[in-house]
Amino acid sequence: MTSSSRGYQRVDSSGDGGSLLMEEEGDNPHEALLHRNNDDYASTYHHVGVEYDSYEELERHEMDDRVTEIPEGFHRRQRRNLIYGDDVATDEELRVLRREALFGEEVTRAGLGRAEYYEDSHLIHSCDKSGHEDIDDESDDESKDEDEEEEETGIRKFAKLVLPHVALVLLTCTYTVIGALIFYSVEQPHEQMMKEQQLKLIYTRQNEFVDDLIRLAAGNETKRYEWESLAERHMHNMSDQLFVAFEKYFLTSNEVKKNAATETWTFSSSIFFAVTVVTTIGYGNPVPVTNIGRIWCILFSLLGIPLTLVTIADLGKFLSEHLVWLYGNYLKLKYLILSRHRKERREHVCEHCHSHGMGHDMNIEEKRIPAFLVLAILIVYTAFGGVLMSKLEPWSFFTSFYWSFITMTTVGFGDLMPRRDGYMYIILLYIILGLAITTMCIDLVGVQYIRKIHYFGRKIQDARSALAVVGGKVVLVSELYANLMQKRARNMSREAFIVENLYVSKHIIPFIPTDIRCIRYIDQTADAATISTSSSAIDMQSCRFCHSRYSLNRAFK
Amino acid sequence: MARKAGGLAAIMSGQPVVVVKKRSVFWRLRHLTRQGGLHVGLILLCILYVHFGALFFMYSESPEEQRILRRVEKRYDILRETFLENVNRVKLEDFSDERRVNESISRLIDDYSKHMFKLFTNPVAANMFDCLFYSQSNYTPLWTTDSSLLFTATTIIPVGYGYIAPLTSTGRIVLCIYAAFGIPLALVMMSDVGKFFADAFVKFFHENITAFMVVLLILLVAYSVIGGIAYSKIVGVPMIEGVYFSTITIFTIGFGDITPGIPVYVIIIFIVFGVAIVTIAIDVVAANIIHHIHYMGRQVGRAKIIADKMLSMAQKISINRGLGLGMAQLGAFARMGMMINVSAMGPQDGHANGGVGEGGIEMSRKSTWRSENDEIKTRKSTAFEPDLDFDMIDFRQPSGSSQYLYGFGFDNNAFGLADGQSDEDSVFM
Repeated sequence: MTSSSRGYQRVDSSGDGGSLLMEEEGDNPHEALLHRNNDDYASTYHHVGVEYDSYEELERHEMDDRVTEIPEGFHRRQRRNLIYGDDVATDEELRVLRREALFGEEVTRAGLGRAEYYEDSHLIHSCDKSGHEDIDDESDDESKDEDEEEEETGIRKFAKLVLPHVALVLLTCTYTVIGALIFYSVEQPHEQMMKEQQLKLIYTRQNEFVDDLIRLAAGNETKRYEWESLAERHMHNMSDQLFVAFEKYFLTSNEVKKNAATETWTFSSSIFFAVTVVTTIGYGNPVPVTNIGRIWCILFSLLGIPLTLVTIADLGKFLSEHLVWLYGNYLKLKYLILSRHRKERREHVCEHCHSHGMGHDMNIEEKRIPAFLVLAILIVYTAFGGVLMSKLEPWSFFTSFYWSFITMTTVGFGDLMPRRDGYMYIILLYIILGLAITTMCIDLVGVQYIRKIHYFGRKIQDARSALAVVGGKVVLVSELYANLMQKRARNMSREAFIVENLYVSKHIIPFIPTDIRCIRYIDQTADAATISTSSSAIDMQSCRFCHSRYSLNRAFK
Repeated sequence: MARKAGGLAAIMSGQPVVVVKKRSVFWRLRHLTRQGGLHVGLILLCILYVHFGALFFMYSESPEEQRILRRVEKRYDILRETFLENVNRVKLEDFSDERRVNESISRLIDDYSKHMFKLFTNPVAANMFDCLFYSQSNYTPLWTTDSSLLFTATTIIPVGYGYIAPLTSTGRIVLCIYAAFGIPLALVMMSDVGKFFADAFVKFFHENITAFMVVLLILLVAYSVIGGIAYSKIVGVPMIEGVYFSTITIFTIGFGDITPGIPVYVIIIFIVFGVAIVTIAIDVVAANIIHHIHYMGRQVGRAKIIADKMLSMAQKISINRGLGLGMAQLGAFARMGMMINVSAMGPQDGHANGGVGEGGIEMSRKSTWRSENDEIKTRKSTAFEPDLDFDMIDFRQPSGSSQYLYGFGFDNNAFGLADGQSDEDSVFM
């Protein structure tokens, strides 16, 4: 086997790690690849304690050789950074930049709305706090000062983060109100004119009927056939006119009785109509009938629908983050309750990891929001809509539930229409929150299924898709892994985010059997060689973080 | 130790040559079938779902419609007889007082119109009067095969015209369940098919997302306008009405104020392709908008983050002995914010990228691979081409288990390009 094929297997293994993250099933050669890659990773990345110094020297030597080969673009960017007052040459500046980079990435994660990373970072930082107990006093003071600096910049960054979202919501509301005003100003006069025209026609027919009756009476016509045929003909004409008025111009019986046209296109109903256009619900009552109204409806929907969908997606991401945060707290609480009642097996931590602040009591989990929880939220919200509408409108609960469902899925038949009066704004708020919750459901559950189905049957593409889907995480994984290797090479001092590095290093390895600590490695240390075969099975242990083997004499429990 | 040193020496000395295994035609066909089977099955599942739903709703709602129709006809006859009796009663009165006759007739007409308006609110009654007054023909049912099919298709897409809607409780319960499963199924199907077109477009535009977005918006507007013009010519209505109906349809608003006069399958095909185009457009354009919004306000900090990443990458080059990273990857990382471990290129290749053309890639196709190879050759001249790394993964796979069919998804390039743009903006700021 050549080393080039081993390199290819590493590429496969990273892809397989991605597919494992996406919970896909593998084939038999797939498992064989996993097994071999595991050996490669074990032999390549886990350092033996005795030979550590020689590797460190070798890495330093290679680092010195490679610095001259950095391309010109890197030098130019570095010069630009110098021009802008950022000196990245010294170690102190490197530390400051690294912390700022870490903090910036944390804010970036929050800003991007990646739900999984929020949970991961939350759990990691909770473990980080427990890891702080082993830090010296000096480093503790330094970390306090750095935390204060981060808080100051965090407040400004939080303000910068919030303003675009608030501006987006206000822009959408303003756009909707302006669109409603235009619909109202265009359609309302036309509606009044058409309704008055219809009422005039109805009363013309009515007067014709009365005149014909009077003419028959004046002629002293007493035959029943004449009266009935006259009445039936006029009744048919009047029914026809009434139906046209109802079907096309939305007249009501009260308007016909009072001979006065009321407004269908009020300002409130215009706002309701505009909201149902940009959310693509589209009840269809009322609708624009003038050419100007229809052209404006086309333009309004072309611009308004993407704007509203982006705004609702933005709100949906915030809901996703809060749901993930609540679920993370729930998992932590459940773990705390369960951990008091069961005996936890003590796992061993080697000297190197222990010196970096690792403890045997660390537990890092990676969980996803279950799909049934999100769907349960949808059903509960729809039921709440059912209760709300059954109180506002004279509908039964099931009719209200049916209306809520048809509205939140943006189907919008229009067979059931709420009144457009004072309660309209409550209904609009319910509709918009419902769409945000639907977007949250799609964000948490739907997108991953769409991507799984789309990339089905193409493993390499799926590996690439895994890289693409968790693009930020891949950068995080590789960067933190690089930082981990660098810290091992340089013996840098203990810092807060070493936890994330080790957490990531655990997950870079695609598969770790549960009994890995019982498996003996081929590259065991010289100390192990001196111990007899029967006692090495008892004394040799493996660290639960870096999985390197060590003697029990140097273990920290 | 000796084997490790040998491996490192082998990587650093030169470019390894990889020979791709040759696969039989049968294996390739089976592989394609396995790849495409899920997508075709998904489309067929949607078609069957729509048809079975249409059958169910037709057989569930038709008896109710017939029952309501008989009741409405009876009530209409009663209204007419009552009106005639009242007119006969007015006939017997004295006609000398014309004002009183007017009041009597007006009161009769008001009562009649009130009852008629109450009757009009029933959809079955509205349909009956529509046939009676407009068509002058016999009653045509609401729930026919065509209307049921259009109803189920526009429910799960979800346009929701509302021409017909279920009236029974059973129909409404089944509709909630039907839509709860059907809407995700239809959206997944359209997103899945749409991603293939998006991948093809991205490749056609040489991974230029900006040009792809512009062409996508033009395609969206053109599809709406052309559909509207075609509809207006077929049905014989003004063009504004046709474009209006087309736009309201493909944005899934679906007022239902215009009844289409063309066959149902034509409408459904038009709706499916239109909504797919809208979904792709909103997915690509809105994803970029969201990306830019979330990066707003963090331009200053980005420069430091990028510099730190570049430094850590520079140090990583010497740390990872087994993974030889070229200089192009450093530029790719700086632009895209991502890193791909490609061991096919040694650290000595740097700017040259000479090994790409010299590699033993066996071309199994004629025109497609030639154009792909030409693209790769043109991209070799640029030092910081980020996409080169992804292509290497497909070309250099020794197992040959998958074939290079669709490149990579546009999502990655969209976000990567946006990230690169923000990087450049922050550097020049």
